Amino acid sequence: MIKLVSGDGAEFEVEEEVAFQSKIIKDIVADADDVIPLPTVSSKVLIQVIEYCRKHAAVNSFPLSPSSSAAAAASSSSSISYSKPVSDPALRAWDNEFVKLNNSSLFDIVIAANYLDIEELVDLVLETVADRIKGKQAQEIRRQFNIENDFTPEEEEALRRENSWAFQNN
Amino acid sequence: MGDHHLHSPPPSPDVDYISNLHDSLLLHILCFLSTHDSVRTSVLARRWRSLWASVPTIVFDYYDFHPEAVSRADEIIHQFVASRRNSSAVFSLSINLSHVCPGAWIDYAKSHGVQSVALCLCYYPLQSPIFDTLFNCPSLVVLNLQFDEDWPRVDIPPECIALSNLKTLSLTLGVFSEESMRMLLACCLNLQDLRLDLTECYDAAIEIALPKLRTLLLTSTLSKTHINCPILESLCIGGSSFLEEFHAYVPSLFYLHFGPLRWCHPLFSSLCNAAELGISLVSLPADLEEHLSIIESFKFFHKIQKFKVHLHLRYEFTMQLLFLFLLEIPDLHTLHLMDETYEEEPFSPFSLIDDGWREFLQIMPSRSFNNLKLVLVQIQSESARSTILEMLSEKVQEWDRVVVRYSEFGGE
Repeated sequence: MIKLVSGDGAEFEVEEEVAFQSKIIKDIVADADDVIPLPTVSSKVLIQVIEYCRKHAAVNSFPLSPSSSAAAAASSSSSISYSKPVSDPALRAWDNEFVKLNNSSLFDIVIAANYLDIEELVDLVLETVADRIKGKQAQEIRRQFNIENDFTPEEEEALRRENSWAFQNN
Repeated sequence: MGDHHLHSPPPSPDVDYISNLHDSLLLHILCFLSTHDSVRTSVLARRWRSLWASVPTIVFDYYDFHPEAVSRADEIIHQFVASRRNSSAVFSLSINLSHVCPGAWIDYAKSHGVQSVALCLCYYPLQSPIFDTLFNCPSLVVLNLQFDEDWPRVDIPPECIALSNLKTLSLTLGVFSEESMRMLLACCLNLQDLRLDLTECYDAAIEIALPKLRTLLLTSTLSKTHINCPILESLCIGGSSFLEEFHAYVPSLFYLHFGPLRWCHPLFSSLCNAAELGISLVSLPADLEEHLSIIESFKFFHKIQKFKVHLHLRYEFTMQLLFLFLLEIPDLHTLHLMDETYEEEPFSPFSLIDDGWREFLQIMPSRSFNNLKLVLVQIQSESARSTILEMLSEKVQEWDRVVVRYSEFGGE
């Protein structure tokens, strides 16, 4: 077992294969029974990250037959995504439930996942954020993420003109 | 588990969390967007103004363009590429517009280390040299080419092919000459996933001999198909065609999936080592003789442990065939039944079970499955579900140790 200690002092004992979903932890742990302080991660976020790692460690330790990846290859036609697709449909459904969170929780998780180097979790969260941007107008995106528009109207207009093709509504 | 100190204050609703992320994470978000969407983020705030110019993915799709702009797509993409930050790498180039000529962007992406290319290509007499560039791109890992119809047969000069890092390839057969296709595959020795789509009129032989291939998807088989892939794990064959020759050396084959009835061809007996099989019994042949040939082919698959079958419970003989098949696979471990009957079709599922069918079920030895552990049922009609499970329970030795799971439609 490996003991993870959150920034607010909470301790979490997890199995090696769960903790090793994080490449950083995998690199620094020499022996089991190690205690790893994670000062920048709050217990609230660490609970969520461990939940994700536990699920993915369980699935990864029983590698699925290639059937599901083949089925996924058969159903996805031509699009190539930036990330590696999660091939197991049940796991994908679980992931989709996992990221049904508000924006601030998502960003907390992604910062922790990035720090712990859990590549698949970073991909999952950032793709979810991207889905909340897709197809939306600037004003909607600003409202959704509390982004303050610090352009003057003239500056914004000039930027829109520069790449006018991207701003035509269809 | 220690105490959960949740003392941190609730997040303020007005904080701009996203703009505080590191550039690399913001660029990572933009990678999941189309180029149209990512360029649009430039007006959000100063923090976002120039990010789009460094995004390593370039994605243009026909439907992203305003109808009036789509005819100028060529010019627009050129303008975009020219205003990108030139030092930024290109990870992926995906252009789903058949009326543009992507030669210059392929050169650009190639000189920026592109790893993934997806293109939809229509035929222009001037376009064929792009293959010399595209197939001579050792940085490529993923290549996905779709072709419009009307392509003449294209020859690729063999000295132009350098795709030593390619792992995933998807393309339409029929555009390249048989010899070029052979050369192309022979040069992709590290290929792991291959998908070949067939144009209808392509009637040639194909030899797929790839030492590292793991998954192979053929939307149809050619009349002469030779497969020699020592570590191939997964093979999907869809569609239908006239098969004359089929040889497969696939000792590691694990998963096999067939489209309608392709699986019953006697030539597929070379695939008998698979442990997992998916088949469709959705459209069944009408005449008895064909039924007999299907039943005959069941014998190939006696090693199956996991069996997924698409059914159409409305069809006569579906259940008979299913149970006959089950008889041939005594090692069956997991059975997955999926009914494809449309919801709107009202039917009484077993009006079709006549006396002959009852008789058949009695002949079938009861308690014939010792290894069945799991049954997954995706059958809408409750009465059909319970009837099938009842029939199955009579044939399983220790039915009370079998786990039965129901899953909703579309609920994956």
